[in-house]
Amino acid sequence: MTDTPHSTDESTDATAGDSRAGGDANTGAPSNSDAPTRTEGGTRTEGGTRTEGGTRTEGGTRTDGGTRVRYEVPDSAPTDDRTMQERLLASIPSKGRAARYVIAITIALLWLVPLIGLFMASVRPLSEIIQGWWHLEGMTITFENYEQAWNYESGPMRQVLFNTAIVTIPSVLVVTLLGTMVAYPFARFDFPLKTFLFFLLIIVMAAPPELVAMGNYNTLRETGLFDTYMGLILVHIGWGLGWVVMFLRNYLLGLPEELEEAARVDGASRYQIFKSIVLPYSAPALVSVAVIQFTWVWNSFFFPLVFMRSQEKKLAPQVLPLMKGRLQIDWGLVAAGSVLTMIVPILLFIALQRYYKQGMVAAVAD
Amino acid sequence: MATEHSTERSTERATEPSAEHSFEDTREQTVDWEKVKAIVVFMVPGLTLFAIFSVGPMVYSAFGSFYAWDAFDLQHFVGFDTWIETFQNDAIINWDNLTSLEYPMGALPQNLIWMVVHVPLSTFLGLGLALLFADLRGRRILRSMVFLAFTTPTVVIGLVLLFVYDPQAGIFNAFLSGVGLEGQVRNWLQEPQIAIYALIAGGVWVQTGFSMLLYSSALAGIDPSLLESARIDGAGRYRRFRDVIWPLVKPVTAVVVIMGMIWVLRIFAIVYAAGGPSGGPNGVYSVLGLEVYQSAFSIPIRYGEAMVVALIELFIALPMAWYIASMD
Repeated sequence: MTDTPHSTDESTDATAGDSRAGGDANTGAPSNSDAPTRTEGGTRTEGGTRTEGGTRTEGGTRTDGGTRVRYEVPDSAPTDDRTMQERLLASIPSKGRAARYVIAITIALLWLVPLIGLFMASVRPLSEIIQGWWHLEGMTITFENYEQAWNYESGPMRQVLFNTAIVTIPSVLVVTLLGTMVAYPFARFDFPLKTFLFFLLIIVMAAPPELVAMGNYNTLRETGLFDTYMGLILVHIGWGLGWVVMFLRNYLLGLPEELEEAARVDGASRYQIFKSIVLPYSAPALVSVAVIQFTWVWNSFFFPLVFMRSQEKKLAPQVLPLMKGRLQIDWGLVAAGSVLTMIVPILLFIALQRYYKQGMVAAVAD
Repeated sequence: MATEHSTERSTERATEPSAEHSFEDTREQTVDWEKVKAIVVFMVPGLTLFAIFSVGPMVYSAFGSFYAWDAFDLQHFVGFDTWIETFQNDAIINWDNLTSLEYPMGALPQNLIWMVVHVPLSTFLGLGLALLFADLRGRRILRSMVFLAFTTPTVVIGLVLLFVYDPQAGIFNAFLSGVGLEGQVRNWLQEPQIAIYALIAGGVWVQTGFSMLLYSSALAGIDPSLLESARIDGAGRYRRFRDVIWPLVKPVTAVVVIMGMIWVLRIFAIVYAAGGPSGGPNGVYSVLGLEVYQSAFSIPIRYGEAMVVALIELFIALPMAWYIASMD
């Protein structure tokens, strides 16, 4: 009985095989030809200790291997077998290619214009913003807007950013840990109602957050957790578990079971296996989960709006619309507050881009 | 109402232990008790929170939509009354304006219009940008530049759109007068008949980065030699796309479209930040999420209606959930 590998999934896997056949063929083919690793093996080098590349030569025989296609963002150009000289000659862009560079860079810059405008507005006085932030002559750079936002009377940024961190950090850590703990048996063992749980998770992934607001509002009010950080953290954890469990389950299904089986034979308990095999080996996926969940919780607006009411407990995204004021919008203040709020997820994205993108792709492509 | 809720919760919680019992019955020969215990220990903490804060409230809303509410308190059973009232509420569906195709049409049609316009645009733009960037040097930076808006808080996106479309300080109007269209300068988010499209353009701006990312990774999986041999065989740019690239990235399109639809269905903060809780003048770009918030948490409180609207959102999302499940 030990680990009959996910037999309840067999039926769904079979149908998936059909619908995904096209996808398998294309991503599978190139990786098989150059190395015995699966598509993910090639770029996930950060799990340095992983030996799966070598042991996975029989990849074709795994039935579930086929459904675990990960569309990777390439980290390097495809290698070619031309000589250095040919390559140098070819690397001089032709006219058509040069035009493509120009178009591509123009579009990418255009895409940034609204955010550049926001940044420009945050460092210029209102009188200049009204004239148009894109007029650069006679530009005065001031940090007055930031100072104002930092001390904004109905929710100073120094306070609300701290509050946002108080809510975000525990929600992310707990959801990652609990999510892995649920995902591990979900991926490895059979138990009754497994398919039912699978559908519940899927429905929560697709459902709008507004659907749980009314029930949670009453639950929190009855338990005295309304308008507390703890209440909001719990709501975020419960809501986040849906996608986190699905994501990690899919990841664990793609990890080889042999190591865990070997540890079983050597007499390791399930908890030891979880701690010393499952957790370390899913580290890249855990980082992806943490980064995406952090961005989600930090940026979330609806849950804090509903569950946090006291002035001193407000979170940063809640305060930003208040900064608009009534008559003339103080763009400098709004922009400075926005920049202060978005700087955290953006720095995180830049620092952990690879995990973020891999996670985004895997979360939905699986 | 309290009892209603707690029974909901206890049934959810009860699934775990009872599940173990049936497990025991079916395989009485050798039950690996150590394993059963491990499953329970691993799953119970997470699933308890999941049941209390996600599944429970959903079931609660499903039941609550058939009851009358006094503010936040459950009253008596009313059947489909709230459902019928909701579909006669002008804020949800404004039947008169709908037939004459004038905004405000109500949140439901507006949300669907948003979907119909937004999803194809962001999908095609994403595919186009992915193809454009596919083999350029510095493509990672180019992609990150386009993707950046997607990591920005949605509230900030709403405020940025307000800023971009501002009649005085907005760059969009400055651009219009720059190219000689002074007559078109206006406060785009205050014009009832076009405001929603101005916001949709902003939504497309955000989501294109996401679909580009998915298409990029799909394109990266295409064997370059396949394209090369197609080129040697004399296939032009268009033929290569139609016969080689498209069949290989087609499966991703389904994912991109579904994620786009879910994203649009969940839109809340952008509209709230740009147009306040009413969703613009007279709610001309209100969406379903905003109506849930309005009904549930602003006076007069109509809790039942909020639940009905949230359930309508769920019904729109369910086919997508079903599709995601069938992919697995």
